[in-house]
Amino acid sequence: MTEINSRQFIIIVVFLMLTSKLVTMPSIVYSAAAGDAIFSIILNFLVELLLIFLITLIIIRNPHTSLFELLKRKLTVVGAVIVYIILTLYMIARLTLCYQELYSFFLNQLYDEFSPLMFAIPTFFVTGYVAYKGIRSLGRSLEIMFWFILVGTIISMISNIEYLQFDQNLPYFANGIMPVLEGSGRSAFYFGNSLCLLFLVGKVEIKPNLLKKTILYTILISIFIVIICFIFYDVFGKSMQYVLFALSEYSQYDPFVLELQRLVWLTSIIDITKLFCSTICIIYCIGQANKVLFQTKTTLLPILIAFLLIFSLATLLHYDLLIMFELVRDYLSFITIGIIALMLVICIYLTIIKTPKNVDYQEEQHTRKRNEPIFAKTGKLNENTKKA
Amino acid sequence: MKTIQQIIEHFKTVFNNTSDLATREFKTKDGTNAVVIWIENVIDQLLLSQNVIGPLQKFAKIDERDVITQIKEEFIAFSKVSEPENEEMLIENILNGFCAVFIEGSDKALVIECAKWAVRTPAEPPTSAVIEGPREGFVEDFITNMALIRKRLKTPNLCIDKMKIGKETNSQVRIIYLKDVADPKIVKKVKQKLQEINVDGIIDSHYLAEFLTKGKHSIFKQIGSTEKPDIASAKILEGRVAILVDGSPIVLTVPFLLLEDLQSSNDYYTTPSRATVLRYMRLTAALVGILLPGLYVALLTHHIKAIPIKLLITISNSIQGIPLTPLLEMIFIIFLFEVLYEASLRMPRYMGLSLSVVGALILGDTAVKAGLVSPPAVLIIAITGVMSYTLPEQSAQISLLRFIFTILGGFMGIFGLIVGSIFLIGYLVNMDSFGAPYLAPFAPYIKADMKDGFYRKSFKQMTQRPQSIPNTNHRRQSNDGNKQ
Amino acid sequence: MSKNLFNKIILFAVVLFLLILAPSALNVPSQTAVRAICTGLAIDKGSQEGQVTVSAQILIPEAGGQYTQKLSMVSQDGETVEDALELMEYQVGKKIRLAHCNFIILGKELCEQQNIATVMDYFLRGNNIANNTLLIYSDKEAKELLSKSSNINTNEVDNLQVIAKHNEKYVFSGNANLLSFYHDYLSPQRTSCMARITIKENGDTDSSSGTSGSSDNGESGGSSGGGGGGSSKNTQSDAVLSDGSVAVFYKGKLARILTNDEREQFNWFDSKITGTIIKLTGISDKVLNNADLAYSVTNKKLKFDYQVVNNIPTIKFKVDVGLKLEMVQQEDETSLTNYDNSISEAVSNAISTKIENDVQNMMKIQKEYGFDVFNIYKPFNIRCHSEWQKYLKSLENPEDYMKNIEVFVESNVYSAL
Repeated sequence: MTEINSRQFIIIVVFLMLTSKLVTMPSIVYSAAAGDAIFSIILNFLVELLLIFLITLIIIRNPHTSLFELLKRKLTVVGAVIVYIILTLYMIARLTLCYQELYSFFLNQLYDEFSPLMFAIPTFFVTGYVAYKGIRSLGRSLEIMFWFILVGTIISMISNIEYLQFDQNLPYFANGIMPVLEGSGRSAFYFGNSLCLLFLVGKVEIKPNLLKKTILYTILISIFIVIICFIFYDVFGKSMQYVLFALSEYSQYDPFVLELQRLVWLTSIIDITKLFCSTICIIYCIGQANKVLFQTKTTLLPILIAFLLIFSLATLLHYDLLIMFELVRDYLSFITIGIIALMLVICIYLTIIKTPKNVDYQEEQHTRKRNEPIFAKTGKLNENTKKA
Repeated sequence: MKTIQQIIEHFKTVFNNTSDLATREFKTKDGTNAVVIWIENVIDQLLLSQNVIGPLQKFAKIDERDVITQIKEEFIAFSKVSEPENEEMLIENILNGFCAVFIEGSDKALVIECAKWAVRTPAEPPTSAVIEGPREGFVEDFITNMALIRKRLKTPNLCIDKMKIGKETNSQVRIIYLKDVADPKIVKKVKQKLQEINVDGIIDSHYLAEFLTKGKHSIFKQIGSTEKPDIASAKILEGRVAILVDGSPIVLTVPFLLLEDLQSSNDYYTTPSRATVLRYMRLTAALVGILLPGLYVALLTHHIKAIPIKLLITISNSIQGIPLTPLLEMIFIIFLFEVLYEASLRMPRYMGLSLSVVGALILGDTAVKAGLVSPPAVLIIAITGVMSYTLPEQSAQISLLRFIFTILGGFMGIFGLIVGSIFLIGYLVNMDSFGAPYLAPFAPYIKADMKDGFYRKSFKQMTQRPQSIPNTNHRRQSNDGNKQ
Repeated sequence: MSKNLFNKIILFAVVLFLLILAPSALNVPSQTAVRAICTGLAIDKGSQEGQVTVSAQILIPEAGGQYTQKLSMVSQDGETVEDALELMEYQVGKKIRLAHCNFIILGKELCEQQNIATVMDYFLRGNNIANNTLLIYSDKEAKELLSKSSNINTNEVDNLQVIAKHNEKYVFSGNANLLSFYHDYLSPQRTSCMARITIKENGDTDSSSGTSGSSDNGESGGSSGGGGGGSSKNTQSDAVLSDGSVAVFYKGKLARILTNDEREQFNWFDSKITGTIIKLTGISDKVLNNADLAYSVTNKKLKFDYQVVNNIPTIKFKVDVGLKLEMVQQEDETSLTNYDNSISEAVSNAISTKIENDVQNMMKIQKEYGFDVFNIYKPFNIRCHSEWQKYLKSLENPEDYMKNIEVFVESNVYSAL
């Protein structure tokens, strides 16, 4: 059953790409690749674009099949369950990081002291609520927040554009290609969000130009993020090591902001909302995955289980940003590379399989709908009334 | 066959010897006993005596047909005359302002409408005043109300379906829609929901609104309501279904979108650009009205670093020495404000003026001077109070949300406000009213409807009916704006 | 689980959560009651070796007070800035909030003897102070300047900030805030600049400008366009003075104070700064006879050509200057009636010579101290990367790259109307 329209699908794609990348990712990449960090990001985007392209193709070719059915058909039940377990584990790890990022963000940017419990309970409740309500509610919520976030991001981006020094990080590749690869390796974790899209298979209303539009928007958003990162690196340059939260510290470079006092604060709100959105997307996917794995009717129980897992994980880590960063740098990012590579292979395998018959039918139906004069019926009616 | 006396006795028993059941016995020209039964105060006495009793006294049997039939066909010059098929219908007619005529020797009765209800003349409703535009408002009489709608929609497509709800009140309900525009599914659903109502009485249309609302606890209204025939007609034109209840000047419309309260009838009687500016202003005012007290408390208790230094100095000086914490102070003032509002509504009008002076000047000023509350807090509540009335239809919701967001802001700071907002959005996007998404055309985004959404384009450009509301005929005008 | 029961459980949980929170949340006081709001900081060398003295300007709320609030001073010694702030918290009885801190004043002794980058590291690591907090160098004790600034000019909290910001914009180009300081410090040139503000001693102040006059003076001050006038903010006794001079830091330590004249020489390399006044004396041409002229620079177009020739880095500096005549003085005033704004050869030559001398002098100063105010390192590294690296390798100490750089100046003067 289709639950979201193609516009909402594209917005979800955009959100998954945009959100968490603009918070801590740029500084992590810079610490590894220094002046060449921008190339690491571009490299990662190329991989992500490929992934999104493949997943969108799968979604278009299988308009009435759920992911599990599809995997079951192609990889047998065991294969499907394994893929689901891998995805679930990845999502839970990613969600933990989202929560960590969010909490650290609050602690560093907005609050002097903030108890983890005070943070955890409302966050779990709200993110769980929206995710539990399903993809339709998620798509619509993101539609509402989309413009607010886009405008906010652009404003914070251009606030200090006059401090841009294009030659800040020149010359590029002074230390060869290795730092670039290291940078992309360390930040790979942030580029795996698009795996969430796999769970939308069979839930999107397919329009003929969906693939074209999705690719267009993903490329635009990639360019947008690359530009933001480029400005970021070219404004801060060597002082990057002191800058942890990308967007919210953006405006701090501008002395005039001090007069307005804290544009920082506004951008922080945008960052938080973005983080919340990506968190909700991920929770939805965990719910969907666990629903299949645990064979439950609703996603309520799966979400609760995920929360419990994350809560214990987060408590184990003491909500410590630094421990989290170490984890990202040393282990999870490289594991993510493996997961993304595996998923790429699976996606390619799923896409090269013959197109199911019902696709042609769908296409035909859509073209017919489009060509059909919408007001034909009314026209006749009016004519009849006139005659009468 | 009953005698006249028996008939009178019978009806007295049926109506439980009520004192306002009037009877008039008389003899016709040929000496036959007759009686007219009616309910006092709902009948035009003059009409009854001159046009019913008077002619009947001159009546003499002409041929062998039934007397009642003869009277109906040849003697009475009323438009609404009928012979009820059973006693139930007869009683209902009597209750609805008909008088019943019984002639000895006939087992039939004749009911003649000569009702005269206390009716207000259409006046400008106090809730939705306009600067330029029609000033007529609905009244308590549903026949007048229907006439007011008919006056604006002179088309055979306008359907008015009858219904009666309430075991004791027997309230007349009319369902009005345009046949080739309104979605038949919605009409069917409305009828079905109304038929399912099994209640002793419907006093006002708000009773019905609650029966039509989905869920029990929602604070948001899901049924549109208006007091103005121009608004009701415009909504019917867009494909909505209007519900009229006898005795209520409020007409209900379904489906209802949140956007409708952002729009005002004034928007359509002014230039599109002005209307657009006003809409943004209203939206901003509503958001400020909801969030400002919460934001103030959040900033003061959790994030003073977000307050510019000069403002911070002013605020910190004025809250110095206030015994209450910012949250308690704000709750106290909100409570005071709501009480003042409620009291000024209830109070007799001549006292209302003095109350507002007392409330605003004396209470506020004294509280500040006594050092109980701080001037910024009073100012904020005053601002939000004014702001929330830019959307008068949603002011109740706004004030409730304001209270909730103040508590969230005080408890958790800006985090609370964000969490609250996300929850609110998540909640609202899930709502729907008779199949129309509550937040349409924003979520789901419907491009065509944005013409009359955040901004208003000129009527020439609004070639289609809103797609957010299911309807069967999208086209409003041909593309070039000329008459078809 | 039926839906109804689930709803009830959720409702119960929410109510329980709110009830638990309520008592503490309702009692949360305003942060102004539990935080000391610091509007300015001063850091000096401590009384003992290896210590620093941190002074803070703190706002004390006063019922019914104006926004021109009285500020009080707190001072503490500590091993590090963090220690001193902690001691200060004990002293005040409130947490010190640095988010509203507008500037940090650095004392002379501290800047000369310690690497201020390590001293201030605390500010950048945490998020309690804005990264764009202004840095100001004081010729005397920073604490003294801070205490003066809190009393001057109707007690406005941000007057020093106003001066420093003006300096950033018109006196020397570039930022002088925490983050930009570290940015420059970490870059290869390792040179940062900040405004020098000092205290004018009692006696220099015009006695006629009393308290009421002082605020006006402060408003119109703000160092007029680098013209050397500087700004002066008076009180009855002492005044805060910015004379357009700039403190240059190299490797985190104070290297040299550029006087107003020297700073103007440096400004030739900066395209953003215009409005500088050029004074010429003893000019004689067809009209003028031993005249004194003053021109203001209205346009400045710079072109740099970086080359490494025979392992010697050279900069070909070409400047087009648009000038506007501001003043002519000469004994014989009759001939001046015809004098227009056009620039004669004599004037042009004099200005070209001045530019040449200024630039060479600037390079001389930079070579002497080893600092690199305009970050010449970067363009050389980008445009002739390999030659430049070769050059650096050939040096004993690559950080002394300034000493062999040569500048050739070519100037073109025109009249701007």
